[in-house]
Amino acid sequence: MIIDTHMHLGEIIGYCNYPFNIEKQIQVMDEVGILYGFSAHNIAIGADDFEYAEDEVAKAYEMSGGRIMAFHFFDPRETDRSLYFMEKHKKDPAYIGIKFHPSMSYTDAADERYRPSWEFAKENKLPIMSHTWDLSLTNFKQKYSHPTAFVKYLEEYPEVPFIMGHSGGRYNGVRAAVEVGKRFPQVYFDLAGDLVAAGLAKYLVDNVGDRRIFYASDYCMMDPRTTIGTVLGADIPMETKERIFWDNAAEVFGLSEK
Amino acid sequence: MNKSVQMLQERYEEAIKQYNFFDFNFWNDPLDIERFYPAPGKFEAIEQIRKVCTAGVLMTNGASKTVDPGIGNGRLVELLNPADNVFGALIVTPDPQFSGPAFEEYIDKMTKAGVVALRLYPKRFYHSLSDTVCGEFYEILESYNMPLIISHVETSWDGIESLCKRHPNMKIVVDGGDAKILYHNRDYMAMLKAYDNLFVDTHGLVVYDEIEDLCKIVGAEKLVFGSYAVYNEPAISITSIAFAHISEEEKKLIAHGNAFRLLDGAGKKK
Repeated sequence: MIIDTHMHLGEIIGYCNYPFNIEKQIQVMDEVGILYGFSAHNIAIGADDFEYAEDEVAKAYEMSGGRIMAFHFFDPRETDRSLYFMEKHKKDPAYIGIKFHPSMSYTDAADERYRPSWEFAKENKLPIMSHTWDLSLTNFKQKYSHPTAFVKYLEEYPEVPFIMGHSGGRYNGVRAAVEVGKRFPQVYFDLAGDLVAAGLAKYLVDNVGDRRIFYASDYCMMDPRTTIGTVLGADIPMETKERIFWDNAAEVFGLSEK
Repeated sequence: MNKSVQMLQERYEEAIKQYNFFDFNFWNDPLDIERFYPAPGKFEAIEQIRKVCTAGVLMTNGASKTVDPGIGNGRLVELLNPADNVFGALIVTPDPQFSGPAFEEYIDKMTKAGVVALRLYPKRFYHSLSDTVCGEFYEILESYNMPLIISHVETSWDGIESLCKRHPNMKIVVDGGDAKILYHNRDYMAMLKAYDNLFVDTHGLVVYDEIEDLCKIVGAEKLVFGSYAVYNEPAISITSIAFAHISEEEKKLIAHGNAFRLLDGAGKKK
């Protein structure tokens, strides 16, 4: 079985994509062998519609029999509203962590406005997962999510597991993420991505060990049948692939097979 | 033991044998430094890709893009082996000092060595795609029955459409390169449907269910398997086709059949 630590609920606008549908998401998970998927709602990330996201998270959790869980989305520009929903659902088993997207929130990951979410994660023993990416010549917002921008909070909150979504992104972002990961043992790496540099999974294993890497698809934007190739084609032992697909995330998120 | 992971691994390995992939977008680039491990040597790179792309490769030399097209193309032809399905794609630039009979002589020599396609990089090499500037290339491509490969970020979709209209007998393959072609799926879906001479390399087609959608909307015959190795991870391109919900026949068309059809007779002057 597989745990997918980077999925999304909800449609994404911008390019032609499938209309979002929870039934379809469950079908996709079954097809690839994904037992649990951790989603962040695109409508919350892109439009701060927390109410809409709240309803769909509840539906997805119920319809999937607890298999589709969610990250609370924290927008540093909407601290009070974000915290309201986080507080409201802090004992709700549908929520498994906190998600940032500094690029979509146009706010650097080191900004002081993130502090309440790190405090919340510490108090409630929740991991934080964030979009991370390399500096981009075509998308300036990616600078807000550069792996090094998280160092300030990683130093202050060593007890909070932190997942670098996309492992820092592309090539230089990944190298930067790995350097941060070497300093901070609470840092984990997810393999979500669209264009994946050759040797990514092996590079992560060789540099941060086989216990800190999670399989991740970025569904419903990316196709999980594509992203599993990052692991299946990697020059790493089969036991390591099994760890990436299941054991590592199961240990961090406290999950077991049904 | 995680049985479903074991099964996925077996499916992946079986697919490599079953679908016989031909990589239409393979790069040989021993000078590449932006990578996690040292770049494989020129022969080693071909050996590595042939383990997963058993039907062959269409190869370009990275130095043609980063050093000089002439130097890279020269390094490319040394490695071609048409008898073993190792073919080449040249990068060319419209230089008035090197046109006319001299250029045709060059193309004649290159095609005899196994070159079967041309690539244009109009942004990188600062030129237009107009017939005034590149007309000689279009004539060569048509007369040698070779496809033109071009990235969507090296021109515009309007530029690609204009080429399709102006040169209906020239086969054009869009290569996503290192850019997110997925953001442009509204454009390429419409254009692939509209133009018989337009095709797309599959390595950037990673949107959920995209391979299925494209097969339904434009037909599997418009998709050409490409990995963008040695830069990118070829297994991703393989699983996107091998695990897609399309027929076995469609998978084989995309994996190698369309490439063979596009390259049938390529490099031989009409």
